[in-house]
Amino acid sequence: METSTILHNFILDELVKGRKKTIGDDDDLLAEGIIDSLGILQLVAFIEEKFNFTVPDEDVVIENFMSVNALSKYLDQKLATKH
Amino acid sequence: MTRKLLLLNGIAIIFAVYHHAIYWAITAINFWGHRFVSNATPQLLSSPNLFALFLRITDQIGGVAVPAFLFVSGYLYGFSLNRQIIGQSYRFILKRIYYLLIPYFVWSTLTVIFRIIEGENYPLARLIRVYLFGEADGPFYYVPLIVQLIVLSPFLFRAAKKYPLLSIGFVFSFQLLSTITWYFKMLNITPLTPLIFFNIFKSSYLFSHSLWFLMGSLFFIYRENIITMIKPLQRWTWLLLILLFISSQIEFQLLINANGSNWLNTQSSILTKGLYTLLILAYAVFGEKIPSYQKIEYIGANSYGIYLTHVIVIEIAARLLYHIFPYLLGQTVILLAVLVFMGITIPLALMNFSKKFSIKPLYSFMWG
Repeated sequence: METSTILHNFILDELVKGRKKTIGDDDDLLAEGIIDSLGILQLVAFIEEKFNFTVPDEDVVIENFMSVNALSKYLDQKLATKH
Repeated sequence: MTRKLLLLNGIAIIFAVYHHAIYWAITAINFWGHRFVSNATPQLLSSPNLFALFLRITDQIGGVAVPAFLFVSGYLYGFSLNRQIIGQSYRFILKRIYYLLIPYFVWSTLTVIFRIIEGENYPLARLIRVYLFGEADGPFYYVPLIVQLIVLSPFLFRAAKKYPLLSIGFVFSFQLLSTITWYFKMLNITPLTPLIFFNIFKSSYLFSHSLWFLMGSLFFIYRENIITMIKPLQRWTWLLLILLFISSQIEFQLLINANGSNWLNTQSSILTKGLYTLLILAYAVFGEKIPSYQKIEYIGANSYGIYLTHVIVIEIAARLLYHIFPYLLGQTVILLAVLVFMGITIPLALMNFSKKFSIKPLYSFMWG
């Protein structure tokens, strides 16, 4: 499964909590209230468990976590370097 | 660090539930003794016997919950507001406040209904206080407090970024001044006329708690500098923690002796506040993963819903135990463990229930 689909599903199933029925890949997750700030911590925990790598603190910035697209782009880059 | 915050949130909510379960342990020992022994006598909590010390020490440690929540919030708002202009910040903030306030109103109302069934009266003035100041039950004060801090967060964050020492100095002074008013109250001192201005700091959670929120934002901005500065001081940090812990316990006894009461809210003393500040800092700098950390992270991720509901849950649990299993009331440690377990698992079960079925669209309005 593609990174963006995995992230999209996790966000929709676990973090949106009924606030929206669908989310776009470019939707601003925080500004549009799709997820709350604790959701960012859950996203980091999910990524670390699912993709088996530690997200460095300096990478936990709004630019990387703004949308599903931004996050999957960041993750794809990281996973490519890892392999 | 990011992962540690979720764990800290989980530890904090367990401590918060424990802190409120203690009330029922004290009630069981002092007022429900006839249910498990025939010649029950109330336990004296004002003298430092083993039972009282156990409750005092664990209650004091459990009190770190709200400072820890505020630290995590401060850090996350630092993350969310970084590089945003004020207008953008408020767009995000309004959404956040919306999902904090609706569950707060729902659970405040349910708590009031529960209390009315128990026979309490709610005249209009009291009802207004319930919703405005979070007086539905003990822990509800946290919601108006965090909402105020969130509203102020774009300014606090900018101040922390531009003037870190000055901003921390300011909020520390506010905390100190509000704590002085607490000592006045504890020692039955009426402030002299020139000191009457202290009263504006009285009972203000914003003044007494904003330090930890700002500390979280500062930790987000200056994480590396703070870690580099504190890491070599590990031994001194532990030593200072032990000193603060012992001295705050001695202070507790002295205040009880001076005040003549049976029990005090230790969280308000300046030594305990210092202890909490250092505990959080030590955790952020030296903290490591602990066993079952994923389960605690899960609890941490659902902390707001647990926080709003646990008081009613543990009250019902304690009253049920009184009727169906009174033997447990005399086993304080087991009683506390049962109440904490129920105070966490029952709200979690309710949350999962509402997530799975057709009431999912209402989930955020119930649990945040």
